[in-house]
Amino acid sequence: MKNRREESGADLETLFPIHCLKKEEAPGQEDDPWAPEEWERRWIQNAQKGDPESFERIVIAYQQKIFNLAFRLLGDKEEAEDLTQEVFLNVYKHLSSFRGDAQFSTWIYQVALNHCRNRFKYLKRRFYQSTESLDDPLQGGEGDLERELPDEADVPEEALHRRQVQRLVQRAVQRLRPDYREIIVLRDIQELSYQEISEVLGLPEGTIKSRLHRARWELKELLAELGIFRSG
Amino acid sequence: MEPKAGKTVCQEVRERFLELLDGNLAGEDRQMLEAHLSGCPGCAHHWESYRATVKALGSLEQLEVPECVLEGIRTRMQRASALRRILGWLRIHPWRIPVPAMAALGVLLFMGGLGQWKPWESKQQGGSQIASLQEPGITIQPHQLQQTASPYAMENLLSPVRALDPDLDWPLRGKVMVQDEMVLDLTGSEEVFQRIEAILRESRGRMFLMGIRHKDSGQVVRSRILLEIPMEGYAGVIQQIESIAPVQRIFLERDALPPRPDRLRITVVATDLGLSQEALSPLKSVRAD
Repeated sequence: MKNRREESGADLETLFPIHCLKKEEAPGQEDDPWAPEEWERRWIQNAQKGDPESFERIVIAYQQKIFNLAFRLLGDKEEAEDLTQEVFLNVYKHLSSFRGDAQFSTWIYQVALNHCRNRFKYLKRRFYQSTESLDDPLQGGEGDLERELPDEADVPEEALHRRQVQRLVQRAVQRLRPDYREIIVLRDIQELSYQEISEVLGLPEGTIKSRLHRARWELKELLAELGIFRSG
Repeated sequence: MEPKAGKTVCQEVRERFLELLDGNLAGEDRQMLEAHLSGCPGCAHHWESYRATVKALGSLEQLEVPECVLEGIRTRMQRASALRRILGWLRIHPWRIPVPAMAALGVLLFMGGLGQWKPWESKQQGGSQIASLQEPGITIQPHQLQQTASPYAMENLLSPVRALDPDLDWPLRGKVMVQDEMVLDLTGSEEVFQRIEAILRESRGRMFLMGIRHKDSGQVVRSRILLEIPMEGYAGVIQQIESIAPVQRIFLERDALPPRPDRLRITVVATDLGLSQEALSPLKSVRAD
């Protein structure tokens, strides 16, 4: 069956009865119009033509990842909110320069990482001037997670313990040097593949692995210092 | 296991924790490493802590993105677009702006006024785009629907009639067609709309109504309704809507886009204007004013 989208032109808004686009009638795996990559490609193309709704779909698809990346790297929810907005605005402004040579996800991660690095430097300067350090435990000792969980009176002990461990882990991640923190967040929290990390950071996989190992080792020692593990 | 020059066996073993955890060690290498770990309490302890560290990182909760983030992105995008348009125009016609106007523009930009500029709202307030939805025997006035506006929804709704698929069973008399998901049969009942409106209000959903007029006759030829339902509790809302308006057919959006993960947007097209296909055909080049 001929696809009606081709007949009517890509720019036209047309409603299709579902029988025109049944999955089993799709012309093969590579051109599968239902594949998420295909949707993403279409969103990007439409957004590049200036369609704000397609751009919004891109935002929705990636905002969780970018927000959590920023939160884990900066350790502050409000900063992460602001940075997420900044990242997507930047992506919006420069979307026309995205040519599809790399994966879109790689590109957006690179943009986000650059923003995080700049913001971290700025925050470090600011905290340094106010005699605090980003390397210190964050904001009142428990960082932003504590503000997330205000009332713990009715929380079961096990859940409380889990939260406590999560806070300490987040605190320890904050105390890593920036390149270690980045690789830990990308691999062990965001669960990107080595290849994806290699593309995002522009480093060979061997370098990624050795840096990740050193970062994990240092984090392990920090967690031991914080009393999560016995020191070795 | 033979250590490399200058390294102890323990150092050698500990450097291979990453490979061991990734499951990339096989055969003899793996056996030797495991044998060492079972006989060396120091390395075994480090191995357990290493594994526990990675596990703890993997169990960190993903934070939900606050709604204000998306709102902030929309606002900043609008501001950027407006600014870009003005700067683009200024690049082409710099001599057309008198100095006082330039100063006023500067002040406006400085105060972030462009971010508040919402042309779709002024259109809506003008009233020319909002039409009554007429069905035989009933008239649903716009004020009966909760009218709010989002820029993208409004843009979408204002799309020209030419976009209609000529092969589609059009006009869909008395039907409400739900984009992406389903068509509900709401034939001739004002009460149905009121009940849907009530359901939406309760579920913090939103409803938009937009009419498009025939350029010659001025008659409303098409009304589009857009329902926006929060994903949280979506199934229940749909169930409620279905209980008053049974699902009839399933339709898809032009690009077969998946539903938004946070809010499922449903576009509803309702029409009942008694115009034939022939009468509609000139409308294919008409844009809503």
